[in-house]
Amino acid sequence: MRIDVGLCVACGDCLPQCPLGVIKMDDVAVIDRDECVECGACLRSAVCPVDAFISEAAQRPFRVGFSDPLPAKLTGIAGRGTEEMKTNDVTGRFKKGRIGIAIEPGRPGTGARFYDIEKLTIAMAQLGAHFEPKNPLTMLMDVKTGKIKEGILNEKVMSAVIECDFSEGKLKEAIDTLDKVAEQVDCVFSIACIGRTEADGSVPVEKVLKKLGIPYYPNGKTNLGMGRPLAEGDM
Amino acid sequence: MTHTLHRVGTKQNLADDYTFVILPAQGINSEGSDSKLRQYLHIALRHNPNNIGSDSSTEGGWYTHTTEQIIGNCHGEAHAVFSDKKDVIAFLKEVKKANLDMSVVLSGLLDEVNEICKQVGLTRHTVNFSLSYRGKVSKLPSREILEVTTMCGHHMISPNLVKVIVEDIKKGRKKVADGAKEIAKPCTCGCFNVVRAEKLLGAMAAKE
Repeated sequence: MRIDVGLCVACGDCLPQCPLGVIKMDDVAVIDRDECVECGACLRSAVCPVDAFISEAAQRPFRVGFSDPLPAKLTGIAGRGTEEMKTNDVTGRFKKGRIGIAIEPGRPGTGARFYDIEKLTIAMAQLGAHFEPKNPLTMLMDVKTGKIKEGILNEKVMSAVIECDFSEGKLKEAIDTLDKVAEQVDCVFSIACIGRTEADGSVPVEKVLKKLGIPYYPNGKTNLGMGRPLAEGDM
Repeated sequence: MTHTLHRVGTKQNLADDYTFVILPAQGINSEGSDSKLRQYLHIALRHNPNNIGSDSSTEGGWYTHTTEQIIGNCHGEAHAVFSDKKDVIAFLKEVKKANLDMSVVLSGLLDEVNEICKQVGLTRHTVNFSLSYRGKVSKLPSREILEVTTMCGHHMISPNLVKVIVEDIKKGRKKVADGAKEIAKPCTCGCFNVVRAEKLLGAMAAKE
């Protein structure tokens, strides 16, 4: 995104709209293009009284694809991730005895560059992660090494979701590894952990988290099992 | 994606935060699903949601679009946000009776959601836990700002916008309810909980 300096009237109304705070006021409002992730929030806010925003989405597809929640043209997949556990009652993607892990560099709200995202994908690949093939980030990497396409490593995005799964016994090792990588990156990343329930509704993964002393939020996402047809093995 | 996970808060201030994401599994039960998603939204409207939305690439939530626009263009996923457990239970009971067969995901306090499942006669299928965040946390705004901004999982809500609105409320230039609605606008999915935001903004503005 850029601002037409010939049109901008320096009202400053757009400054608080940028989620990453990269619009600054000089003689007129200026966007730091290297830090802008093309999320489109400034343009959609429609606060500019003179329509001075000029979208550069077409020229920066990787930034748009992992930042703007609306278009989904980069990989053909809506959003930055997949259906993951949301349709697990129907797809059966996450099985009992496996743990799904979703790592989201850039979240909450700092953005991330692909060279930092790659540090995480390489670490997970070295642990033997199985990466979700339909995920847009997976499509940009070598799933054996975790290496991401070299030409995009300096691109900054709002966030990307690394979706992978392990056997239950690998959870501690995966979290310990992520804690180490946390010291090497210049962004934040969130971690999610997905587990199937037993017939009584209890969640073995939760017991593992408690046993290992890994803290988790009191709130989370629950698939209520209302989708039909049920996945094979759930019928 | 995980856009209704990782909402920062305390057990106390998350108690009125229930967000539904309803969707088909692509290639399995997605044929004709958009009309079913519209039915879910029509059911939601009978149970006092404070926001609704969808995954449509042309829509936003209730604070930028009309109900007719959101439901008319509903595509891919349907979203509805509630702030009262009783409404959630009533909504789910009606959804269960309608047999619409889409996957229903409810974000909220996990123990409360499990209790709701029992009351409605459901057994939860899969659970997604948030293990919080790591890395360069010095780049993050304060926790109280995150409690508001993380209600948009795509992070379209600017921490600076929250600060400006809180200042406006403090100075009497804006009512808390109007401030919450303004902050909800950048959330294109309609997953932002305006009722919870009012409480959080009110508490921030009440501080010296």
